Amino acid sequence: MSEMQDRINLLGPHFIQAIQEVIATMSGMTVTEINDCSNSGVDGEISSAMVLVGEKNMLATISMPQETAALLVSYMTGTPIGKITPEELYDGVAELVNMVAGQVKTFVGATPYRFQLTSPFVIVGKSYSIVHKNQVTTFWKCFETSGLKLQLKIYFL
Amino acid sequence: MRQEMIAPFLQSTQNMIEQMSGITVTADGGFYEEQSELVSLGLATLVSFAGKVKGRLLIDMEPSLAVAFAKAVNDENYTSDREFMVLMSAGELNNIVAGDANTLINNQFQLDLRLAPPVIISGVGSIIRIPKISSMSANLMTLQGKLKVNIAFEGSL
Repeated sequence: MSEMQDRINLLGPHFIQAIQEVIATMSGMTVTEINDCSNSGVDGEISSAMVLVGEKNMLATISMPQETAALLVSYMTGTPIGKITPEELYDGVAELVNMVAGQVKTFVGATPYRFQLTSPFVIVGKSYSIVHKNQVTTFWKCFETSGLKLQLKIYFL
Repeated sequence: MRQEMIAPFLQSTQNMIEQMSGITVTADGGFYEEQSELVSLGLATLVSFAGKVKGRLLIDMEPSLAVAFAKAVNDENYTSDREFMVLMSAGELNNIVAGDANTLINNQFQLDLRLAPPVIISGVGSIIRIPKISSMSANLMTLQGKLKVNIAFEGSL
């Protein structure tokens, strides 16, 4: 088995577990992994992202439509959806990737796959795309909660 | 934010664009504190770095400049800023600038900063938001279009 496959096999389940636990803890919502995740693009109007610096650098993104973000942040903050400001929305989504990456960092701290966190950032728009070099290995999973979807994507840069 | 920490990024951006492409770059004012949201001019590249402090360099440019820069660097014709080599050339510019500037500030402040590969975000009008971190921007002009250099550090020396 290749080194990259070993890396994915170790990190992938940790990211899946982390996103499920963080969302459950922060919002009380249950997210379930779904199989239909065939689109390799970023499916969302909002992506929260963080570069993870280690022996092998990674970019972790969590992308979602606006309505998913609003629902999640509403549950996280206790603010009604209609009263969430754009700043609260973006910061809430950024906090999501921060917490997910932080949890995975703890999981893998004693392994060769440990990494450092960097500042999370959020990209918002109708037609943006995140581009990377050719032949970058990616790992992605889609999740569903209350009929809304979100996508986790890890780029091994 | 200390001037000695941010000035090398602006100087390096000007130098590298001119050296790599022959495009003349002029500063349109000095550094100013950026609002938390940046509305992309069209093609934004972001390089994160981590060491004793964390930071990131964002170079955002108009599509016309991205195309002209790639054309000059690669000696090939491009018609759209969404062409792969245009995107990669912009990413490589950021990588080179961040490497050059970080070498200077690593030598001066012993920050042990390590660079992550560039993340390239394409889409005019996309909003890029980095919560809870103040950043400084400088606007630059070329005959081929505008660009913005935005630099942020998290943590103090």
